[in-house]
Amino acid sequence: MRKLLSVSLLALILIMSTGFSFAADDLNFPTRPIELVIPFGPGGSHDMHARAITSVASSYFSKPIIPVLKPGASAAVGSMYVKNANPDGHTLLFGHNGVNIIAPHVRDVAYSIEDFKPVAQINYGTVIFFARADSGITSIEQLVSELKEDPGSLTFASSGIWGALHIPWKLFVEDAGIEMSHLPTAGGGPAMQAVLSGDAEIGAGFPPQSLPHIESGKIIPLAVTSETRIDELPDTPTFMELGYDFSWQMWRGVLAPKDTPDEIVAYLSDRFEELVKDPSFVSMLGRMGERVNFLDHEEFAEQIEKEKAMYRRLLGQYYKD
Amino acid sequence: MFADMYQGLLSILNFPTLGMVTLGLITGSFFGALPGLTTTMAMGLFVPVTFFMKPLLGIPFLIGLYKGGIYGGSIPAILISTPGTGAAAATVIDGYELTKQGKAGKALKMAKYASTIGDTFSDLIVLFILGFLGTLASSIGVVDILGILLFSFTIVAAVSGDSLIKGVISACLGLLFSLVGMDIFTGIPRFAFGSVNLMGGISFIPLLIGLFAMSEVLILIEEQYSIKQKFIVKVKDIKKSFSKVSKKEFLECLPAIFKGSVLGSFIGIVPGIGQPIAAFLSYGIAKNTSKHPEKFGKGSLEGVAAAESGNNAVNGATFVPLLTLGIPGDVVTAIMLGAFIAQGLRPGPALMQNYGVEMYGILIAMVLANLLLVGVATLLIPLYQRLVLISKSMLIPIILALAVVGTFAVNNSSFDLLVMFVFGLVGYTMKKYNFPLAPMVILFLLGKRTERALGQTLIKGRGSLMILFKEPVAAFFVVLTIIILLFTIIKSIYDYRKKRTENSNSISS
Repeated sequence: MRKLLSVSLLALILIMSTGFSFAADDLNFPTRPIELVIPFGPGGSHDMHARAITSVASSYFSKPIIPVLKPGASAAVGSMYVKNANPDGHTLLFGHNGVNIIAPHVRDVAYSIEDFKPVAQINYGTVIFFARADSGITSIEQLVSELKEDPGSLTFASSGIWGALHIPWKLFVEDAGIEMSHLPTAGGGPAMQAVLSGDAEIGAGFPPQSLPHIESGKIIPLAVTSETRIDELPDTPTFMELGYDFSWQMWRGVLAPKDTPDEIVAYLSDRFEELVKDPSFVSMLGRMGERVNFLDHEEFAEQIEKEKAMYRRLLGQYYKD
Repeated sequence: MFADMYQGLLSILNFPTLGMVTLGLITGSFFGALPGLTTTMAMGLFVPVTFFMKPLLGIPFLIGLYKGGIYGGSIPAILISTPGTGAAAATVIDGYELTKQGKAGKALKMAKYASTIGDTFSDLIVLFILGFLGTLASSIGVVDILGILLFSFTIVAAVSGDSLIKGVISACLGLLFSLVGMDIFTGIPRFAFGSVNLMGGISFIPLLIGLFAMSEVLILIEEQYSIKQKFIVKVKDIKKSFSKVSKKEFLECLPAIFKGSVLGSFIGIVPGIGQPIAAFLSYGIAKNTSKHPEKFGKGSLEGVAAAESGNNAVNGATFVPLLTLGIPGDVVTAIMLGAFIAQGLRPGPALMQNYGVEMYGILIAMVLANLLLVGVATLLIPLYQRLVLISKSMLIPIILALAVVGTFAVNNSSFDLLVMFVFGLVGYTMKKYNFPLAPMVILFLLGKRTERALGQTLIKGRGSLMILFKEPVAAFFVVLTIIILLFTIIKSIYDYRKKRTENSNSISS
């Protein structure tokens, strides 16, 4: 059904695009619609981001970008599809660091970040660490001193092993040299539920899910994982300000198969840089509670290198090359 | 609150909103009625469309899709033993039996009534006591969830049919299948045999379609060559297949519908349990408290009523954690959460204060959607019902094609087709040797969830399970579980003794 839909959509768009396709520069790219592969099922936050991109893409690319859903095996199916695709820039992966950097290092999957060439980071999500209001914890300093006195006495709820909340927590406890019990749950929602219901004292989450509960006073923000403070929580310090040696964001970005020519990658990177400034794209992201944080292909590659070094240090014995 | 409610009512009583609900219901029941095209898929596909609609058009459309989808799943479950969605798995047990007995019409109409009553009940309590339910939802923790899941294990006895031992064997196999994939606490793959496809676990819909639909195809093919029965239904019973539910039958099923509605509404509030388990639980409870428990599994209208009221009553209640806490209970509500956020209606504790009129409009639209569903179902049933008029030689390829297309559509994965065929053979073998299928499905659903809840409870209880008796909700369900377990054991010993004395009497005489 989905395939049928995308094929008929493709056909429709192809017919439409013949009318107003214009000659690109000497690159002769793109020659046909670009597939943006989403390695998850429809309707999730990742899919919604991807569709926000594809819905405005027609103004920035001479050919349309078509969202292609390839869910399965925790994003391995979609990632493998792009890894093995023709490296001509017409097949791109909309990935994030959870599936594309962390997963290959902790699980047996047949791809790694080296199989891809970074094209553009679209945005990133900052993780907010918080405590349940009646737990009595109001700051990271207090949390650390209580855990130093009584190791393991407090519990942290995450969205699952090696997930987007577990990784920054791990960075924090390793850096602080503290012992804290860990309650893995089935996702960001259940992790929040665990804190609200009292199963855990400490939790973490992305702004869209956390801010309503911070406003209602049920949870107290302790610190954010970004390099600078976030606008919504001007009084909440970053971990770096508190003297910790890490920052972490979950990025979403576009990756191409590794043999894609550099000129094409640079061309795509430039187009995406224009696209992320599109007012209707910005407002769509804004309504989801997200913000654009663009990095071009070179900056994005540097960011990935930095992250790899960090995971090698963090994962230690779990690390797989 | 009532002023907002009144304003909300006025804001949705217009042709476009009600039209969108109806469109959603029709589309949803179409997706639900085709195996493999699930409610999740329908909502995922259409949610980006709603970004560009007004909140009181887009959200009601999605609500229609949701309700239509969950209801629609019951149609193929009853008619061709193929649950259109996971939620309809429990409906197959008695629904298909009724069809074979020439009572398809009664089963379909009972499903319609039970679905609507369950859903309306659930929506009404959400509409009037959302705030209270929100507080309840935020207090449910991992220990309580473990209690509820443990209680759900007792349904195995209710759906095991004649032999409890065979039921338990089937359940154990289901548990084994559910453990395939990545371990939740360590991330280490189990029973994956190095296959990337098995790493994420066995997908539920392919397993379900294989067990129920594919196995039935094999059985129908076999029958085709042995007994010369042209239709699923005996020729003399075909006319009967279109009959209505009598008033007496409806009244008999009413207690089961009511119990299913209350239970489903409760399960909906607890995140992460979902329609399929609610349907089985409701079925189990209805059987244990029925005046005719012996009919269950052999074509009981009460069984259909219990399963369908149980699964549809979850629908409304899942909006409680979604709206008050911003926590989606399953994939469908996660998509719904995305739709609310995209409309600028950010779910959370302040939602009802900030957007009272819109939210009450949406909640009232949910109630009205049920009434519209009765209309939509009344139009659809006669269309689908004609399936019983199709001869088996035509029906077999139709089911086969639906099973294959539906399975592939779930993840666009050819590996899932393999899973479906393998479970087709498993289901066929089990049916041949009279092993009940339902316990396998239940344990497949419960296995990983229970493992997670058990691990979490142990983390919270610092390695001790005594914490189960310290939390009131958990303690209630655990005690109930122990009572049912003891009762089942004592009853089977008693039955066994009785049988033995009867046997020895007949031998001696």
